[in-house]
Amino acid sequence: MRDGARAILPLSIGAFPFGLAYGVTVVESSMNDFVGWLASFIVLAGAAQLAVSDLIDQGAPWFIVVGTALVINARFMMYSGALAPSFSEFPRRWRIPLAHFMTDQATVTSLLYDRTERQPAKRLAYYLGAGASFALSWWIGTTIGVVIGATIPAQLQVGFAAPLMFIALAVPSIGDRAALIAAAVGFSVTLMAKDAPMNSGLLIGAAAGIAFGMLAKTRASATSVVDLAEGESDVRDDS
Amino acid sequence: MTADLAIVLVVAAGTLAMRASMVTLLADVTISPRVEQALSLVAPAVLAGLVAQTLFLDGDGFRPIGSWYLAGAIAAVVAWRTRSFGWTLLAGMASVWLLEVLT
Repeated sequence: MRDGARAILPLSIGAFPFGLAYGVTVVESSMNDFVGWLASFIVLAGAAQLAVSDLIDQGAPWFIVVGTALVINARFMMYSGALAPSFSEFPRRWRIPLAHFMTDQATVTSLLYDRTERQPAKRLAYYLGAGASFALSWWIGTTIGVVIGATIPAQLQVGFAAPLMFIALAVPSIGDRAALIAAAVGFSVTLMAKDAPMNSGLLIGAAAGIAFGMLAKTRASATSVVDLAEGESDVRDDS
Repeated sequence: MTADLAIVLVVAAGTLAMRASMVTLLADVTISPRVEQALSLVAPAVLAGLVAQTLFLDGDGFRPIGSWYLAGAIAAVVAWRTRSFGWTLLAGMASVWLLEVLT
Protein backbone atom coordinates (compact mmCIF):
# COMPACT_ATOMS: atom_id res chain seq x y z
CA MET A 1 0.00 0.00 0.00
CA ARG A 2 2.84 2.32 0.84
CA ASP A 3 4.36 1.85 -2.64
CA GLY A 4 1.14 2.97 -4.31
CA ALA A 5 0.77 5.96 -2.00
CA ARG A 6 4.39 6.92 -2.66
CA ALA A 7 4.09 6.62 -6.45
CA ILE A 8 0.99 8.80 -6.55
CA LEU A 9 2.30 11.32 -3.98
CA PRO A 10 3.19 14.13 -6.44
CA LEU A 11 -0.31 13.83 -7.91
CA SER A 12 -1.84 13.76 -4.43
CA ILE A 13 0.02 16.99 -3.71
CA GLY A 14 -1.53 18.36 -6.92
CA ALA A 15 -5.00 17.19 -5.84
CA PHE A 16 -4.82 19.51 -2.85
CA PRO A 17 -4.82 22.85 -4.76
CA PHE A 18 -7.25 21.35 -7.30
CA GLY A 19 -9.57 20.44 -4.38
CA LEU A 20 -9.03 23.89 -2.92
CA ALA A 21 -9.99 25.46 -6.27
CA TYR A 22 -13.10 23.28 -6.47
CA GLY A 23 -14.10 24.20 -2.88
CA VAL A 24 -13.75 27.89 -3.69
CA THR A 25 -15.83 27.44 -6.88
CA VAL A 26 -18.60 25.78 -4.87
CA VAL A 27 -18.71 28.61 -2.33
CA GLU A 28 -18.77 31.21 -5.12
CA SER A 29 -21.49 29.39 -7.08
CA SER A 30 -25.17 29.20 -6.16
CA MET A 31 -24.74 25.47 -5.45
CA ASN A 32 -25.40 24.45 -1.84
CA ASP A 33 -22.04 24.45 -0.02
CA PHE A 34 -22.66 21.26 1.95
CA VAL A 35 -23.80 19.34 -1.14
CA GLY A 36 -20.79 20.57 -3.12
CA TRP A 37 -18.52 19.38 -0.32
CA LEU A 38 -20.32 16.03 -0.06
CA ALA A 39 -19.81 15.47 -3.81
CA SER A 40 -16.05 15.18 -3.29
CA PHE A 41 -16.67 12.11 -1.14
CA ILE A 42 -19.45 10.35 -3.06
CA VAL A 43 -18.67 11.38 -6.66
CA LEU A 44 -14.88 11.70 -6.32
CA ALA A 45 -14.30 13.05 -9.83
CA GLY A 46 -12.98 16.61 -10.14
CA ALA A 47 -13.80 17.40 -13.77
CA ALA A 48 -17.43 16.28 -13.38
CA GLN A 49 -17.82 18.01 -10.01
CA LEU A 50 -16.60 21.31 -11.48
CA ALA A 51 -19.08 20.96 -14.35
CA VAL A 52 -21.94 20.25 -11.89
CA SER A 53 -21.31 23.34 -9.76
CA ASP A 54 -20.83 25.46 -12.90
CA LEU A 55 -24.09 24.27 -14.52
CA ILE A 56 -26.11 24.60 -11.29
CA ASP A 57 -24.77 28.14 -11.03
CA GLN A 58 -25.89 28.84 -14.61
CA GLY A 59 -29.38 27.57 -13.70
CA ALA A 60 -29.27 24.58 -16.07
CA PRO A 61 -32.13 22.04 -15.73
CA TRP A 62 -31.33 18.98 -13.59
CA PHE A 63 -31.22 16.52 -16.49
CA ILE A 64 -28.59 18.61 -18.28
CA VAL A 65 -26.48 18.75 -15.10
CA VAL A 66 -26.76 14.99 -14.50
CA GLY A 67 -26.29 14.16 -18.20
CA THR A 68 -23.14 16.29 -18.53
CA ALA A 69 -21.55 14.84 -15.39
CA LEU A 70 -22.25 11.29 -16.53
CA VAL A 71 -20.90 11.98 -20.02
CA ILE A 72 -17.68 13.35 -18.49
CA ASN A 73 -17.46 10.33 -16.19
CA ALA A 74 -18.17 7.80 -18.94
CA ARG A 75 -14.39 7.48 -19.24
CA PHE A 76 -14.48 5.46 -16.01
CA MET A 77 -16.19 2.68 -17.94
CA MET A 78 -13.12 2.54 -20.15
CA TYR A 79 -10.80 2.68 -17.12
CA SER A 80 -12.89 -0.06 -15.54
CA GLY A 81 -12.19 -2.20 -18.60
CA ALA A 82 -8.48 -1.41 -18.46
CA LEU A 83 -8.32 -2.43 -14.79
CA ALA A 84 -10.56 -5.50 -15.21
CA PRO A 85 -7.66 -7.96 -15.70
CA SER A 86 -6.20 -6.92 -12.31
CA PHE A 87 -9.58 -6.77 -10.57
CA SER A 88 -10.45 -10.29 -11.74
CA GLU A 89 -7.85 -11.54 -9.23
CA PHE A 90 -9.31 -9.45 -6.36
CA PRO A 91 -11.90 -10.86 -3.91
CA ARG A 92 -15.44 -10.33 -5.26
CA ARG A 93 -16.82 -8.32 -2.30
CA TRP A 94 -13.90 -5.89 -2.58
CA ARG A 95 -14.44 -5.01 -6.21
CA ILE A 96 -17.22 -2.40 -5.88
CA PRO A 97 -15.75 -0.49 -2.88
CA LEU A 98 -12.35 -0.51 -4.62
CA ALA A 99 -13.94 0.73 -7.85
CA HIS A 100 -15.03 3.90 -6.03
CA PHE A 101 -11.37 5.00 -5.84
CA MET A 102 -10.92 4.69 -9.62
CA THR A 103 -9.71 8.22 -10.41
CA ASP A 104 -7.70 9.18 -13.51
CA GLN A 105 -4.62 9.38 -11.33
CA ALA A 106 -5.03 6.07 -9.45
CA THR A 107 -5.88 4.26 -12.71
CA VAL A 108 -2.84 5.48 -14.65
CA THR A 109 -0.50 4.89 -11.69
CA SER A 110 -1.83 1.35 -11.14
CA LEU A 111 -1.76 0.41 -14.82
CA LEU A 112 1.92 1.39 -14.97
CA TYR A 113 2.62 -0.79 -11.91
CA ASP A 114 0.58 -3.74 -13.21
CA ARG A 115 2.80 -3.91 -16.32
CA THR A 116 5.59 -5.34 -14.18
CA GLU A 117 3.84 -6.76 -11.08
CA ARG A 118 1.86 -9.99 -11.54
CA GLN A 119 0.99 -10.83 -7.91
CA PRO A 120 -2.72 -9.99 -7.22
CA ALA A 121 -2.26 -9.15 -3.51
CA LYS A 122 0.49 -6.65 -4.33
CA ARG A 123 -1.58 -5.13 -7.14
CA LEU A 124 -4.56 -4.71 -4.80
CA ALA A 125 -2.48 -3.09 -2.05
CA TYR A 126 -0.83 -0.78 -4.57
CA TYR A 127 -4.15 0.30 -6.10
CA LEU A 128 -5.73 0.87 -2.69
CA GLY A 129 -2.71 2.81 -1.44
CA ALA A 130 -2.71 5.03 -4.52
CA GLY A 131 -6.50 5.47 -4.70
CA ALA A 132 -7.16 6.14 -1.02
CA SER A 133 -4.21 8.48 -0.42
CA PHE A 134 -5.09 10.48 -3.53
CA ALA A 135 -8.73 10.74 -2.43
CA LEU A 136 -7.67 11.86 1.05
CA SER A 137 -5.75 14.81 -0.40
CA TRP A 138 -8.74 15.74 -2.58
CA TRP A 139 -11.03 15.63 0.46
CA ILE A 140 -8.73 17.79 2.59
CA GLY A 141 -8.33 20.31 -0.27
CA THR A 142 -12.08 20.52 -0.85
CA THR A 143 -12.84 20.91 2.85
CA ILE A 144 -10.37 23.75 3.31
CA GLY A 145 -11.57 25.37 0.06
CA VAL A 146 -15.21 25.32 1.20
CA VAL A 147 -14.32 26.62 4.67
CA ILE A 148 -12.02 29.48 3.70
CA GLY A 149 -13.76 30.12 0.37
CA ALA A 150 -13.07 33.33 -1.49
CA THR A 151 -10.30 34.51 0.85
CA ILE A 152 -7.68 32.70 -1.27
CA PRO A 153 -5.86 35.37 -3.33
CA ALA A 154 -6.36 35.04 -7.10
CA GLN A 155 -2.60 35.44 -7.63
CA LEU A 156 -2.03 31.93 -6.23
CA GLN A 157 -3.65 30.52 -9.41
CA VAL A 158 -5.02 27.42 -7.64
CA GLY A 159 -7.26 26.80 -10.66
CA PHE A 160 -4.20 25.99 -12.80
CA ALA A 161 -3.74 22.79 -10.76
CA ALA A 162 -6.49 21.11 -12.80
CA PRO A 163 -4.98 21.34 -16.33
CA LEU A 164 -1.52 20.83 -14.84
CA MET A 165 -2.51 17.53 -13.27
CA PHE A 166 -4.01 16.32 -16.55
CA ILE A 167 -0.78 17.29 -18.41
CA ALA A 168 1.29 15.34 -15.86
CA LEU A 169 -0.89 12.28 -16.53
CA ALA A 170 -1.39 12.61 -20.29
CA VAL A 171 2.27 12.90 -21.33
CA PRO A 172 3.60 9.69 -19.69
CA SER A 173 0.56 7.77 -20.99
CA ILE A 174 1.91 8.28 -24.54
CA GLY A 175 4.12 5.23 -24.99
CA ASP A 176 4.04 4.58 -28.74
CA ARG A 177 2.92 6.04 -32.08
CA ALA A 178 -0.67 4.84 -31.75
CA ALA A 179 -1.00 6.44 -28.32
CA LEU A 180 0.46 9.69 -29.69
CA ILE A 181 -2.13 9.70 -32.48
CA ALA A 182 -4.92 8.92 -29.97
CA ALA A 183 -3.81 11.85 -27.79
CA ALA A 184 -3.41 14.31 -30.68
CA VAL A 185 -6.82 13.43 -32.14
CA GLY A 186 -8.48 13.38 -28.70
CA PHE A 187 -7.05 16.81 -27.99
CA SER A 188 -8.01 18.49 -31.28
CA VAL A 189 -11.44 16.91 -31.65
CA THR A 190 -12.36 17.91 -28.08
CA LEU A 191 -11.58 21.52 -29.02
CA MET A 192 -13.44 21.28 -32.33
CA ALA A 193 -16.47 19.77 -30.58
CA LYS A 194 -16.57 22.42 -27.86
CA ASP A 195 -20.05 23.52 -28.90
CA ALA A 196 -21.45 19.99 -29.09
CA PRO A 197 -24.71 19.60 -27.14
CA MET A 198 -24.63 18.73 -23.43
CA ASN A 199 -20.86 19.25 -23.05
CA SER A 200 -20.31 16.02 -24.96
CA GLY A 201 -17.18 17.41 -26.66
CA LEU A 202 -14.83 15.42 -24.42
CA LEU A 203 -16.59 12.14 -25.09
CA ILE A 204 -16.62 12.78 -28.87
CA GLY A 205 -12.92 13.72 -28.74
CA ALA A 206 -12.01 10.61 -26.76
CA ALA A 207 -13.95 8.30 -29.07
CA ALA A 208 -12.28 9.85 -32.15
CA GLY A 209 -8.86 9.55 -30.51
CA ILE A 210 -9.33 5.86 -29.73
CA ALA A 211 -10.66 5.16 -33.24
CA PHE A 212 -7.68 6.82 -34.95
CA GLY A 213 -5.24 5.17 -32.55
CA MET A 214 -6.73 1.77 -33.40
CA LEU A 215 -6.37 2.56 -37.09
CA ALA A 216 -2.68 3.31 -36.53
CA LYS A 217 -2.21 0.05 -34.63
CA THR A 218 -3.94 -1.96 -37.34
CA ARG A 219 -1.81 -0.33 -40.03
CA ALA A 220 1.39 -0.91 -38.03
CA SER A 221 0.68 -4.63 -37.64
CA ALA A 222 -0.34 -4.91 -41.32
CA THR A 223 2.97 -3.32 -42.35
CA SER A 224 4.98 -5.70 -40.20
CA VAL A 225 3.21 -8.68 -41.80
CA VAL A 226 4.14 -7.37 -45.27
CA ASP A 227 7.73 -6.80 -44.16
CA LEU A 228 7.91 -10.31 -42.76
CA ALA A 229 6.66 -11.68 -46.06
CA GLU A 230 9.47 -9.82 -47.80
CA GLY A 231 11.96 -11.59 -45.58
CA GLU A 232 12.86 -8.77 -43.22
CA SER A 233 14.02 -10.14 -39.92
CA ASP A 234 14.46 -7.01 -37.87
CA VAL A 235 10.81 -5.99 -37.81
CA ARG A 236 9.43 -4.96 -34.47
CA ASP A 237 5.76 -4.50 -33.78
CA ASP A 238 5.39 -1.33 -31.75
CA SER A 239 2.21 -2.50 -30.06
CA MET B 1 -30.45 22.23 -1.24
CA THR B 2 -32.81 19.29 -1.95
CA ALA B 3 -32.57 19.73 -5.71
CA ASP B 4 -28.75 20.00 -5.56
CA LEU B 5 -28.58 16.96 -3.27
CA ALA B 6 -30.76 14.91 -5.63
CA ILE B 7 -28.49 15.82 -8.57
CA VAL B 8 -25.30 14.88 -6.70
CA LEU B 9 -26.80 11.58 -5.48
CA VAL B 10 -27.80 10.57 -9.01
CA VAL B 11 -24.38 11.56 -10.38
CA ALA B 12 -22.69 9.59 -7.57
CA ALA B 13 -24.75 6.47 -8.23
CA GLY B 14 -24.23 6.68 -11.98
CA THR B 15 -20.49 7.23 -11.57
CA LEU B 16 -20.07 4.26 -9.24
CA ALA B 17 -22.09 2.09 -11.63
CA MET B 18 -19.74 3.03 -14.50
CA ARG B 19 -16.61 2.53 -12.39
CA ALA B 20 -17.81 -0.88 -11.24
CA SER B 21 -19.22 -1.89 -14.66
CA MET B 22 -16.32 -3.69 -16.32
CA VAL B 23 -14.49 -4.80 -13.19
CA THR B 24 -17.55 -6.72 -12.01
CA LEU B 25 -19.02 -7.83 -15.37
CA LEU B 26 -15.87 -8.40 -17.39
CA ALA B 27 -13.71 -9.67 -14.55
CA ASP B 28 -14.31 -13.33 -15.26
CA VAL B 29 -14.31 -12.97 -19.03
CA THR B 30 -11.06 -13.01 -21.00
CA ILE B 31 -10.64 -9.85 -23.03
CA SER B 32 -9.73 -10.15 -26.71
CA PRO B 33 -6.40 -8.61 -27.80
CA ARG B 34 -8.26 -6.11 -29.99
CA VAL B 35 -10.38 -4.84 -27.08
CA GLU B 36 -7.25 -4.68 -24.94
CA GLN B 37 -5.55 -2.59 -27.66
CA ALA B 38 -8.50 -0.17 -27.70
CA LEU B 39 -8.46 0.08 -23.90
CA SER B 40 -4.76 0.91 -23.91
CA LEU B 41 -5.61 3.99 -26.00
CA VAL B 42 -8.28 5.24 -23.59
CA ALA B 43 -5.91 7.00 -21.21
CA PRO B 44 -4.00 9.06 -23.83
CA ALA B 45 -7.20 10.01 -25.69
CA VAL B 46 -9.28 10.98 -22.63
CA LEU B 47 -6.47 12.71 -20.77
CA ALA B 48 -5.45 14.77 -23.81
CA GLY B 49 -9.12 15.73 -24.17
CA LEU B 50 -9.22 16.80 -20.53
CA VAL B 51 -6.09 18.93 -21.07
CA ALA B 52 -7.80 20.58 -24.05
CA GLN B 53 -10.94 21.20 -22.02
CA THR B 54 -9.37 22.56 -18.84
CA LEU B 55 -6.45 24.50 -20.38
CA PHE B 56 -7.82 25.84 -23.66
CA LEU B 57 -11.51 26.28 -22.89
CA ASP B 58 -13.09 28.58 -20.36
CA GLY B 59 -16.85 28.43 -20.20
CA ASP B 60 -18.23 28.57 -23.74
CA GLY B 61 -15.18 29.98 -25.53
CA PHE B 62 -11.41 29.69 -25.81
CA ARG B 63 -9.29 30.94 -22.93
CA PRO B 64 -7.53 34.19 -23.91
CA ILE B 65 -3.82 33.74 -24.69
CA GLY B 66 -1.86 34.24 -21.48
CA SER B 67 0.26 32.75 -18.72
CA TRP B 68 -1.71 29.47 -18.54
CA TYR B 69 -0.80 28.50 -22.11
CA LEU B 70 2.90 29.16 -21.66
CA ALA B 71 3.04 27.47 -18.23
CA GLY B 72 1.12 24.51 -19.70
CA ALA B 73 3.63 24.20 -22.55
CA ILE B 74 6.57 24.33 -20.12
CA ALA B 75 4.92 21.65 -17.95
CA ALA B 76 4.35 19.44 -21.02
CA VAL B 77 8.02 19.68 -22.03
CA VAL B 78 9.14 18.88 -18.47
CA ALA B 79 6.71 15.93 -18.33
CA TRP B 80 8.08 14.62 -21.64
CA ARG B 81 11.74 14.98 -20.66
CA THR B 82 11.55 13.80 -17.04
CA ARG B 83 8.44 11.56 -17.03
CA SER B 84 8.09 12.63 -13.40
CA PHE B 85 4.81 13.83 -11.84
CA GLY B 86 6.65 15.84 -9.19
CA TRP B 87 8.89 17.83 -11.55
CA THR B 88 5.97 18.47 -13.91
CA LEU B 89 3.74 19.93 -11.19
CA LEU B 90 6.59 21.94 -9.71
CA ALA B 91 7.63 23.37 -13.10
CA GLY B 92 4.03 24.19 -14.02
CA MET B 93 3.11 25.98 -10.79
CA ALA B 94 6.47 27.84 -10.66
CA SER B 95 5.99 29.01 -14.27
CA VAL B 96 2.44 30.22 -13.75
CA TRP B 97 3.44 32.16 -10.61
CA LEU B 98 6.50 33.66 -12.27
CA LEU B 99 4.49 34.68 -15.34
CA GLU B 100 1.83 36.24 -13.09
CA VAL B 101 4.51 38.31 -11.36
CA LEU B 102 6.16 39.33 -14.65
CA THR B 103 3.01 40.32 -16.53
